[in-house]
Amino acid sequence: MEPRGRVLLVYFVADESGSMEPYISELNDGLLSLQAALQREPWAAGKVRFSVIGFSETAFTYLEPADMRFLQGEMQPLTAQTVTSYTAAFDELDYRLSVDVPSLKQQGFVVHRPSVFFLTDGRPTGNEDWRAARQRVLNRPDHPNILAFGIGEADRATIGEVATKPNWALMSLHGRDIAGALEEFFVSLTQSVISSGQVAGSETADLQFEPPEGFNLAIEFDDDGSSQHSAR
Amino acid sequence: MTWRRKATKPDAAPAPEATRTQVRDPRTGRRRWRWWPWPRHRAPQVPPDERPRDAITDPALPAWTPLREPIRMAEPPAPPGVAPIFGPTVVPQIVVGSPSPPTEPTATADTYRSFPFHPDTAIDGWSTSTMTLRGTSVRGHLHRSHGIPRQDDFTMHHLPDGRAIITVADGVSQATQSHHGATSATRNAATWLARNLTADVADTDWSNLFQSASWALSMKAQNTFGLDQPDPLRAEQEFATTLVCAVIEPLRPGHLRAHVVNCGDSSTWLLSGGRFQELAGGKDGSPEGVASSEVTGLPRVPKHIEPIVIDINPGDVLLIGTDGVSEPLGDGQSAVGDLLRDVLLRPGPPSLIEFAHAVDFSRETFDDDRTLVALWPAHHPGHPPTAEAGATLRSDPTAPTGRWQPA
Repeated sequence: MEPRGRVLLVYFVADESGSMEPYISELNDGLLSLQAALQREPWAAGKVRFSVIGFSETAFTYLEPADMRFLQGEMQPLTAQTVTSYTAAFDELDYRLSVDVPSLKQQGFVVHRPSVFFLTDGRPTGNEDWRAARQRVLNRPDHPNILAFGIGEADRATIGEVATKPNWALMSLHGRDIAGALEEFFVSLTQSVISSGQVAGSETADLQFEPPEGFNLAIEFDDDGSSQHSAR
Repeated sequence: MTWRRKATKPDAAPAPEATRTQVRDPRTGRRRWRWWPWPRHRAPQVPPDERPRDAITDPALPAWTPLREPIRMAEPPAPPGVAPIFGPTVVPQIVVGSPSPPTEPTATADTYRSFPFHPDTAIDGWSTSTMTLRGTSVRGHLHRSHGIPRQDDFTMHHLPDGRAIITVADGVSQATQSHHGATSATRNAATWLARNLTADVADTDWSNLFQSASWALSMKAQNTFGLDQPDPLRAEQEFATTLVCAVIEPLRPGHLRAHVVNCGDSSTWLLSGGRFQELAGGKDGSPEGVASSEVTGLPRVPKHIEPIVIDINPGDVLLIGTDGVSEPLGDGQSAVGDLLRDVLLRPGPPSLIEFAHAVDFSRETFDDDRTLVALWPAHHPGHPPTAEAGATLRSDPTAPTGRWQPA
């Protein structure tokens, strides 16, 4: 089979529950600016396949993994929906991984461990067992690295539970300034995608990530190195 | 009377021992000694063993143009003006599929310590009476664009006993000075092999080879960073590199044997019958999971080092290369496989520049440094007839006997 090179799958999983309604336009603008930034980075863009999943009560894949250089037209805009179901988000992610990774491999690509940027402003609604859904995703052989970003009313402990590493769980310091938090989030996401994409061709294929300025860790570290969820 | 030098023919037989006779000098009337030949005309007296071999008297040498008669070229009349130039001066880069973004190399960034000199591309190649080698190490497009030095390196040496050694290294990207690590590892390993190889390659202490190359990296860390003592941890942070070493021995005309040891993810292939058989190295990747980015390399030394022994027959090509080559090559049923087959399976080996030009192809997403060494057994009619290597092998008392027969 003709080798096509190494690619990094990046999923942007966005909360589009009702409480995000005032900021949906910022979310969509952020995605457009990310698309524009990748077009200016030919070394990275060819090695990244970017996908957008929006979730509320259900989850929907707005953009299947795409080479952002060749994206025709604009992405289907996210829309504010109803409640916040993490289970729906993780189930959709599980489904996407089961389809996207084999598909890319079949085309001759070598697939790096996928990255998920999980952005939420709330807490999971109701008594759903979203942790089991998350675990199903992590039990996959191609399980992704999950970075969790809490904005607005997001729960610090929950954000810490979503991320797969303590230093990938980040809370916005902007409080109710969600627009400012989103702006910084997209700067960080874009930088991370570009720098990860650049190294994806070499053996240094680890996720490249610098936390955005206006965010701090959701989980605090004790002096002995162990982590605990902050009560703040 | 004037003293005249007697003209000597350029191809005259060696002058006889000088003799002297007594003559009378007509100007002074005195007797004096007359030497013949005049000492300054005398050919240097070379012991018979060291005399240059002569195609006329030595049947082992091919019948090149005999030098009995001076060669007289019928010179065509020189055309007016400057000499004409033949051949293209613009050689476009070979593109496989979609190209990488075009790039002009950026100067090496300060963090990478560009001293001692570490060029973008290294090329070598030569033939002996038993084999032909081509080797090149070219910087990846991304490294060129970002001012990162080439982190691959290689050496290839012909030993006095007729054998050859090849070393190939790929510096680990996470180690910032791994370009110096790769250079150090290839050169130290080559020196170790030249000093320690015995008649039977199977007796080689391969672990000691890797330990020596590894220790050289630790000492390099000490020297470079002014440490109190050699530091393996610092060496791993700064100089980590993979390493492949190969010893090539001629078996009989047209047949070679390679002993290859490997630490890391570089690959060895035998291109035989048009198929690339990967014999050692490569990346471990589970079909179910995703690509691993873990690379182990020096200064970590594998616990068990088992050389693989490869017999190379007429028509085969042995290839040793880094992952910058193995990834676009894949299983060989690929465009890059076709490109390499085209270059490597011609009636004669490619020129040094042609070989490097082919390895420096542009292919989208394949931006890593590339190093490839190719080895052909001497078998084709145009093979350069350099008999010296074989002659030395026969007269060397430490050389393996019975394995090499003159053609």
